[in-house]
Amino acid sequence: MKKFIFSVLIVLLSSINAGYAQPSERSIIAEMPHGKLVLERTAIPDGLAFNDRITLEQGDEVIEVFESEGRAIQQVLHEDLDGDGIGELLIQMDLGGSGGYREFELLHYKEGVYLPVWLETGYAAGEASIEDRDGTGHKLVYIAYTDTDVEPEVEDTAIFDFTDGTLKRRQK
Amino acid sequence: MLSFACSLLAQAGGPFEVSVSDVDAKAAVIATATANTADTAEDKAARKGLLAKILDLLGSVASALFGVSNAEAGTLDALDRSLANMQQQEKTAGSAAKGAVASVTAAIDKKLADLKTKAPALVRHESTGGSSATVGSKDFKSWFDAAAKFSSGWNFPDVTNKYGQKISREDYLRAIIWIESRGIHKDSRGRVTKSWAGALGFMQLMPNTAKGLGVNASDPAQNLKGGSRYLGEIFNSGHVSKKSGAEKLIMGACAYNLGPFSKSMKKSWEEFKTAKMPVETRSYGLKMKMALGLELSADEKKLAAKWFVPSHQTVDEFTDEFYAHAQGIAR
Repeated sequence: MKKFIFSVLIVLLSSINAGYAQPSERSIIAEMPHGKLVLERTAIPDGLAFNDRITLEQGDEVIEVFESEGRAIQQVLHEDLDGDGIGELLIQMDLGGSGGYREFELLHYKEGVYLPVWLETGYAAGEASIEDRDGTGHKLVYIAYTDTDVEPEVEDTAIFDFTDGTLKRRQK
Repeated sequence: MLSFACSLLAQAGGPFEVSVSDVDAKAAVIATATANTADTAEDKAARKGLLAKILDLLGSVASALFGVSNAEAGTLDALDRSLANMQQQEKTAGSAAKGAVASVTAAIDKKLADLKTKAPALVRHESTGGSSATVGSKDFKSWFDAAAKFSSGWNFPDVTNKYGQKISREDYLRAIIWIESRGIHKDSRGRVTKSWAGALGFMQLMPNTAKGLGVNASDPAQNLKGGSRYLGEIFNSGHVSKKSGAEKLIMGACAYNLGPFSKSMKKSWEEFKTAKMPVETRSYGLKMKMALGLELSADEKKLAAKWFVPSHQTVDEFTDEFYAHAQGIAR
């Protein structure tokens, strides 16, 4: 099966003004044989909440895959983690608080649906990537972040393995 | 049984102390009175009922006191209710029981008075000069009052602190300002207070959040207004809006630091403070309790000592100082 690996980085900092000027902003995350994954970002007027969502468009049919529930989607990665040839979705969301923390969710594609299987909160200003850095053929999830639990805060990278249908941290 | 109940109460210690010998004496009075009375079935039933009432009352007092460690925000209310209940029962009780009830009533009364007068003297903030913008600046009060107008729309819970004071929206704003920036918007060289994450000013607004609120975070007055409106978002929508009482105040503070729409905000404070969350955010909840005059449990004091209380201070000393500085803002 042809592999579709497509990742999209959305830098909210540089485009939030456009988000406010236009109520809804669309970008394509991935085009696959069974449909097109689309990200729609919408800032709710007179508030700080975002009504961002990811949909799967199959012809005229639009299937809801994910809703941000107030959080602002910052980054979406579409990579195959379980080796079935269809990408999972790793979503990073900006939470807007004074600490600059983010929330991550992983949606596992299984039997035709995207299931939320992992949620982690509290990575400060993180940037995620999914890569096979050591060439073993096994992809890992990397989240670069600032560790604020130590003083002074330090840059760190959290590494996660996709096992037993979820992400498990390799270190720390 | 009465002696046993009172001894238990005394052993509970904490903010309320009962003299064991005094209570034992009252119990002895009741026991003696019981032995010397010519018993009729009615007398026995009446005494039994009275003792049961006293034990119920002592039980309710004990509940209020044990509650201190778990639900500190309601301590004063609970003690107040117990006191009123005691006083009502005292009117209808017999002479021996009246003594026992009066003893407990007096102890509660004294504890209430102690609690309500223990509030530390508030700090008067002074200007730091130069190009600074701080809570001591001459214009600060007007900036603060303008920002506080936005707080009228907050869905704010009714909570009384350990000093017997009702916590106001303004008190909450003061607490956030002190926790976020120690009351400094600009230093004496005119540089805006900025965190490593990029948060700015008195209320440490993130640039995106400030844009969403339509304010310039570098301007002190707008920064305060933005923060006040942001708190409105926290209290009126998002997961914290569904909470109540002191829980809402504490988790509201955590949401200010973490973000109101984080799914982690569904947790209770009890779950959150020991959850795998940033220490900064969990410390924020503890600092908010300190700044509002809410009692910290023994476990929370341990966490505070571990995370942010300087080694040269006790948690209680730090708490008093923190409260005095936070609540001294814009007075």
